[in-house]
Amino acid sequence: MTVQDIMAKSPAVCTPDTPLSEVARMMVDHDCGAIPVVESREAPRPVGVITDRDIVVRLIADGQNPLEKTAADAMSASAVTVSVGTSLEACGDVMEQNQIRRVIVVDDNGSVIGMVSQADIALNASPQAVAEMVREVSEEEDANNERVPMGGAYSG
Amino acid sequence: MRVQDVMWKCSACCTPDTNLQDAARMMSEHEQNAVAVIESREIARPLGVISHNDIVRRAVASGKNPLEMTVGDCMSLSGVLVTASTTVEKCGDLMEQHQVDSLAVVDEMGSCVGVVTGMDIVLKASSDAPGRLLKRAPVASRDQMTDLYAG
Repeated sequence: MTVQDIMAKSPAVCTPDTPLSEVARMMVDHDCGAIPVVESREAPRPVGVITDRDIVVRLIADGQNPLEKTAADAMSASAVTVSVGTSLEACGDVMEQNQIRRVIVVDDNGSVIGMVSQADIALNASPQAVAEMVREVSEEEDANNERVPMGGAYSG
Repeated sequence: MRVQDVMWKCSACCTPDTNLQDAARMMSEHEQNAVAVIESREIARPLGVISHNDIVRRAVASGKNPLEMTVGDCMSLSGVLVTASTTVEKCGDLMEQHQVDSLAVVDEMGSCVGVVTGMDIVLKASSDAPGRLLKRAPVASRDQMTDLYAG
């Protein structure tokens, strides 16, 4: 299985000069917390990503009115991408290595064709999956704790 | 594992009359995705939670200047509460049941002591969460996603 099987296809994209009010509306309309920023509509090669957190932390917290700003003013100007044929495991590794919760999927030309979001998957796509995941993780933690040797207490 | 292991402590609680810039600054300084909203500094009864998502959707997307708004204008009201000793399994079940991604955490007296988000549970609980979540992703179809978003 590859990222193509699970990605959100044809995600909403913006350009660096898109007003932030429009970017925010895209987030609402497309139910997502991140929008890839592309070079241009005609050449949708990713030049960055903008998230709801970027708008809040980089502008509002700093006393800047986002209604007077564009995507370029708040975006992260680096875009981690994976190709459409990347395996899920490899995609997970890329997210972990880059400490990101979302990754852009590009085609052979480097154009944006999808988005894989850890947060969307975890919290919105399947609440059941979160509950199961939490249950599994918790059981593992408990099992690990049980396996800690008595001497371990001294090192802590 | 319990909520106390993954929650954000209430050092950064706000009230409905806190202005949005201050709430945003709290989120930035404390690197939190959400901040609990309490009745007042004296009465720490939780009223709900405010997140990045709430601010962007209810202010910016609506063409309103967030610098002229308060937390009360954007927050999500929540009647669901957990305590620090609630297990993360129970917390996950409640989030699933009520279709929310964050909950206020209260002590035995009902006073707010923090906030817990679903993502924090997943991220803090497991260092290899992304890979595992991705493997689990096919459980939900895009149609299901749309339904949940609509809700």
